[in-house]
Amino acid sequence: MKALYSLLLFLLFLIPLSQSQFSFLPKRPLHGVPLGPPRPTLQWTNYLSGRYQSRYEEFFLKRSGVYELFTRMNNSLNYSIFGLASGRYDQTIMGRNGNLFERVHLRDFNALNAHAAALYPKLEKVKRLQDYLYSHNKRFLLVIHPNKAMFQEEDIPWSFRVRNPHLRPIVQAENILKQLGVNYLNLSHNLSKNVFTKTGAHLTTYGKCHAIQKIAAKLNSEEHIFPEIRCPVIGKVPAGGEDIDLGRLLNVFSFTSSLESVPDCRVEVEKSVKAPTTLFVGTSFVYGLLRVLRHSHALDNYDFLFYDKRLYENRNILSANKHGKRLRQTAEHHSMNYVSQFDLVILEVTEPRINQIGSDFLENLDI
Amino acid sequence: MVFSSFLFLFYFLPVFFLIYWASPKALKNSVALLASLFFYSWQSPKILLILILSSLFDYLLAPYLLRGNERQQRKLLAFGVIVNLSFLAYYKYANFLVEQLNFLRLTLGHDPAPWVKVALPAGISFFTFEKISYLIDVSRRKAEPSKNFPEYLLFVSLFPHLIAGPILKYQDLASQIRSRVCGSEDVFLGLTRFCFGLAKKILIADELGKTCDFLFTRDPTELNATYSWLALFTYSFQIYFDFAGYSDMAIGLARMMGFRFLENFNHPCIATSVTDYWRRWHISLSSWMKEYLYFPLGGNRCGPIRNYVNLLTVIFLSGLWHGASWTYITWGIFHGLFLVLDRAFLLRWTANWPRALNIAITFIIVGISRVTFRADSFLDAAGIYTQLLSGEWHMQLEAYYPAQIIHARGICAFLLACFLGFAPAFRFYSRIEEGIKTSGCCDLLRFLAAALCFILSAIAISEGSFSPFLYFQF
Repeated sequence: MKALYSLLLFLLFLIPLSQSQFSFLPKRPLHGVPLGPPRPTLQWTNYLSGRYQSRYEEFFLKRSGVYELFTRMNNSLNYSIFGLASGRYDQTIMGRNGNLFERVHLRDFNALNAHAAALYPKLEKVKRLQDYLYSHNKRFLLVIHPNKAMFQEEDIPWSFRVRNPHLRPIVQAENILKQLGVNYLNLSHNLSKNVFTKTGAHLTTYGKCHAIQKIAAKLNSEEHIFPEIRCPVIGKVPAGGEDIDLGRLLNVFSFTSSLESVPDCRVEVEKSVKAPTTLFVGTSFVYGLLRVLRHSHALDNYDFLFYDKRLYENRNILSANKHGKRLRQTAEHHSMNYVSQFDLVILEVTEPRINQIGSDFLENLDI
Repeated sequence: MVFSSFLFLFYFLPVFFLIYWASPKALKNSVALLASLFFYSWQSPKILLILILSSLFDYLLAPYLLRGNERQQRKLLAFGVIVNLSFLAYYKYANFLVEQLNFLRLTLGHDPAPWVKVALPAGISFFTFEKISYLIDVSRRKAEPSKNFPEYLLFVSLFPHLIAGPILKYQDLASQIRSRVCGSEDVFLGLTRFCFGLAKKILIADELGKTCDFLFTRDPTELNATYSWLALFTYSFQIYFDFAGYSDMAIGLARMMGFRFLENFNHPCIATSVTDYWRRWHISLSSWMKEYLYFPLGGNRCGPIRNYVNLLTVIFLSGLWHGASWTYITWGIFHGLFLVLDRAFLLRWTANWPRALNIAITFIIVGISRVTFRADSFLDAAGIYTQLLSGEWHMQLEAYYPAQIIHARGICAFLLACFLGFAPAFRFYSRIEEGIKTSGCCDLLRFLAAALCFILSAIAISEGSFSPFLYFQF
């Protein structure tokens, strides 16, 4: 019997080699994980330096044919037995009531990213930009929005909270903005419930529509310059995220079996009013808003300075190719010469990162 | 390529053993030797030639240790030991020595001496000691000089023990190299032992290592008593299960080839004193130190003061052997002091104390010494020691949330480590062991346990490289 047991045990060691030759196990790619590197080329110099070995080990691990299966098995065990999301650096955090959060959002929630950078000079620069635009008969709006963790604080378990979190900079920032007279909108106080899905990282279409609705209302409070937005609910959508579904990134065998759906809406845009030529400076929040408006032709002429130095011009964010046409921001895009072309400037920032408002654009702006 | 890597488990191991078991008896040593040299070249390709040449040096020198008069033999032995130690000194300690020299130079107002850091070859501390023990045993007539260089090279480079021991003696392995049997029982026991070792490393040690690595790389002022003690206990278990797991894998692999290695650990968590601890922990190293250092220095055959000096010297060198750093040396001296205190009066004092109390105290003392062993600097170690006594016992910190430090899976690994570490002290453990051995399904239970350990370990290995990119579509 020992020989039989040894044989059976030894066969387990042969699974990956056999799989790489005969592919008898089903293969399902992992979400958010690129294919492994190609087989490295063996050269004397890269073998002596050890580079070949580390690359080959990476290649064998990721391309053996069982990596996806083993990863899903491990993730499923972690999820079903321990209630954990797997992966290095805890990319996905399991909250209460089936909610998933991005790790960086938890750090924001705990004010662990709250650097004591000087807020006043930055907001004072925002005020100068606003004054310049108003003096040239243009408009300006600062949009502040919460991330999912800030908005659904009740779903953060105690094990993800720090003791005595620092004061979030938004408290100080709002006081300064009011004092300076900056035209701003803090969506944390204005959005309704159910604007995030359980497993999504960003707002749903319903949430984005409401956000644009509030932005339009704020812009139109003095003069009707932006088309009005309506968000009639038309049904429900599954709980998975629309752009980033953290549930899929868990890479387990089964998930979202019992998560409730969230409202879905139609985006109705006032047709009689065209939005002015607009410059957006912001984050993936703006990216999401623009995608929601893509069928409406509400914005015919805009530029979007995405915070990681990508530039979207006019309607290329709406192109059939998911990646759109991306350009690079240059020094020219951070100049008043460039800004002067637009009739409306919307600066957007997430609430816990208010001290990083405008990132490179505001820092380099010659005003 | 470590034993717990994907490449070793699913490529090197199965391919090697398929070829090895299929080879005729006359070729098995050659297959093992070639595989071992390839294994080492994968880790440290530039050092392979040095390993071979230094082994050739030992092989050629050994016969001369038995010729000429005693004085000539001693000189040759000293020469052989110095040559072997010089490799170790250069690769392991040169960086440390130059750092200390440059620190002195800077203090005196001079520029630091230019130096390009030397990379540490894998396993050099282990195989250097084995080569030295060969030369000494030959000169003492405890072993015969090898008459076959490939056999000697196989002793030095046999891949199961090459990188992390156990430290073997030539005479223990020589007869097995020349003649050994590898039946189904050897393969079964070896393979299952390997699987258990793999589980100790992956499911316990690596899991606890996540918590340890996090805590020991923080600023100690950001921690509190709860997490400092947690760091101490998790590291104590991590290092034990990591090393013991690796030893189990080494012993298991060797058994699958028909070699019988000596045990390297004997439940050190249940040691009742520091003296007892060193009889249970890394047994091959402490045996080596005893035989080739402690006894030649006089052991305990001289007066008590000289005995204490011998103990301190040996344990100081043990600390230095572990690493080129003042933290390792301090760890060694700490243990040396307790060995001396044990000799002086502690063992007598505590002889009548409850065994459980002695076990707990010893575990804490050894754990405290481990803080210095693990910390990056004295400052960090001092910071953690301060926090151990800070009296702040709450679960939440200001700079980190608890889930960053430990979670359900880590807690399970910790509880499992506690059970496996301390259960051998209880009678029920030996009763269970005996019961399983005498039952009719011992082999079946062993097979099922090994299969489960292997499967869970194999799938956990993939986690280390799993990192989904949230924004991959942008």
